[in-house]
Amino acid sequence: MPTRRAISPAPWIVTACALLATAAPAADRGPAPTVIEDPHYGEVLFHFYQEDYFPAIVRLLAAKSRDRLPHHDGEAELLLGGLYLSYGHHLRAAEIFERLLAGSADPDVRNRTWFFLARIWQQRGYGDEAQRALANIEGELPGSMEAERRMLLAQLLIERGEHARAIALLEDWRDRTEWGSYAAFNLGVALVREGRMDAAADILDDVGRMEPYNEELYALRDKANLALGYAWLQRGAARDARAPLQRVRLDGPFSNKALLGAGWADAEREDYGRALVPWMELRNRNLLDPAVQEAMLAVPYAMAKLDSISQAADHYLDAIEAFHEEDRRIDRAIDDLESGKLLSTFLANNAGSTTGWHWRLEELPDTTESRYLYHLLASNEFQEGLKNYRDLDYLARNLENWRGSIDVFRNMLDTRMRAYENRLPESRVEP
Amino acid sequence: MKRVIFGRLPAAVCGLLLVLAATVSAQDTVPAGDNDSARAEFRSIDKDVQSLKEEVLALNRDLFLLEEELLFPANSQVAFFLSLDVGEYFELDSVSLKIDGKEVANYLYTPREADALVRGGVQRLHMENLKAGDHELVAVFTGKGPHDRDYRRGATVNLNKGLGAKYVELAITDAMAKQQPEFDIREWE
Repeated sequence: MPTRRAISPAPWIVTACALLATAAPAADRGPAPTVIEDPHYGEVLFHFYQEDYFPAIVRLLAAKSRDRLPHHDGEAELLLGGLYLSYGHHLRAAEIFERLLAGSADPDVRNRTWFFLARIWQQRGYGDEAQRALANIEGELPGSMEAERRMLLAQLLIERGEHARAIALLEDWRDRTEWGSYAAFNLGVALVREGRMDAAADILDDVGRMEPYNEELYALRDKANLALGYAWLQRGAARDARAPLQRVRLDGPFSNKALLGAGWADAEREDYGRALVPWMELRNRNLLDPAVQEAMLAVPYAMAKLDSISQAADHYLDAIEAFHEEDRRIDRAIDDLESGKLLSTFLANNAGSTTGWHWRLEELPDTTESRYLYHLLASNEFQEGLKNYRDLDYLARNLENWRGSIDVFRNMLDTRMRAYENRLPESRVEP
Repeated sequence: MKRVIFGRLPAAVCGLLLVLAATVSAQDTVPAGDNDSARAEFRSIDKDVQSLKEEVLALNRDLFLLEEELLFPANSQVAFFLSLDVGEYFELDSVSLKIDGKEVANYLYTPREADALVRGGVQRLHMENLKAGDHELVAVFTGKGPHDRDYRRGATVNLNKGLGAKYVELAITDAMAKQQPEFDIREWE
């Protein structure tokens, strides 16, 4: 019997580690020690712990195919599921979990697994799969994960246009934490989309007047005010729109849209002089923002309404000049993007030895086209797409490396084949 | 280039759809509604990427095994694994391995690798083809011992290689009673 006492995590925590790399609470219990009996299992863990998921999976698949894990068979399968999930190979991971977790496994592990699968699927646009995964969760999840689960479900329902179901889910939310504020905001949005403006207004107004204690909640408050303001504008209630729009912070990420909307709230009431105040402020801001672009035209529009025709003409000319310049820059950026150079820069600046689902691009490279990509960078779709691109780049390099070895292998096989063929007549002669 | 900035101004409030399309979670903002086709396209690409990953993983598994079997045929193969049990009394920096007086491996550990060992990972340090018979193995470990002292220790063992593959373990363990690390070379049974 081996005397070593190397410590490996119990299978459930292995999965949890893989799943919870971004959400800590469940991993707090600490690993339970198990003796590593098969060295190849320990080797897989060596790569797994370094977050080198690809080599870990390859070694695990190789060891399984040669029956090198006789003592760790069950946990190896679960580890493989966790590795696939960490690597972003979520469809295969789900197959394994569906098979392994169906019956006997710890319900806690099962629930967490389904939850994280749902989260990956939602982010990757697999709405049906995400909803199915959430439906597999039995009972409540621990801690804030339960709030996140319900929020995820509400989000999926809103995405599918099932507003009434989302409303029913969110209306029951009894939570005084940050999640309660997010739930209220989402409820407001769902009610607007259902056309229940009065109910939506009450809720969004509440969120829009809350006292935030962190930046995230400030942003949420701004967003609620913006949503409410624009919802009123869309319904022709320009007078009601102004107050929430004015509550949006002037230096926050939503200030441009708020200034634009505030101007329109005045313009709708034909108070063009007042509309010019936010719009003039806006036109001096970054032209990349569509709200600023619109202000470039809204300013002369208001001036024309005020009969300042010559000033309006000047501003229109300025706008035309600015748009032309921007147009040229965009053409250059498109050329650069189409050449593929930009994506290579992304990966070069964010090089990692291997790939994983938890990777995110944090910084944009300093190139001319980067200025157009800040908004993209913030979006899930772009980040998920970039992860796929990064994975493909890794696979390409991996295959390229092997290509160099293939000829060597072929030569070795040929040499051996010849050596055997030479010996064959001798062995046939021997009695 | 054909690009429409905005068709008309009044009441268009072009930001509106964007604002209302946004639902939030703690992590992020997910635009929804009018980008169904983009989602479907992403999904379809994602599925292609998944199946490509599957194929490349299977190919890697096969090539990994082929390489191993070509370079280290089972009858002469000896694989050396390094393990670290607990690691409270020793912080591994490097290890060198000599077989019959010849150095075959000299490995310097990154903090990430050392951490993976502490957490229970086992490193495949080296693979070798050895003829049947007796061989002398010497491993020298360097690192930090108790009280942050530089530590350099060796371990020697005679290995009898018979037929079939053999696994050898270079084991670093904590001797609790002595509050010292122990170094050992043994066959992995």
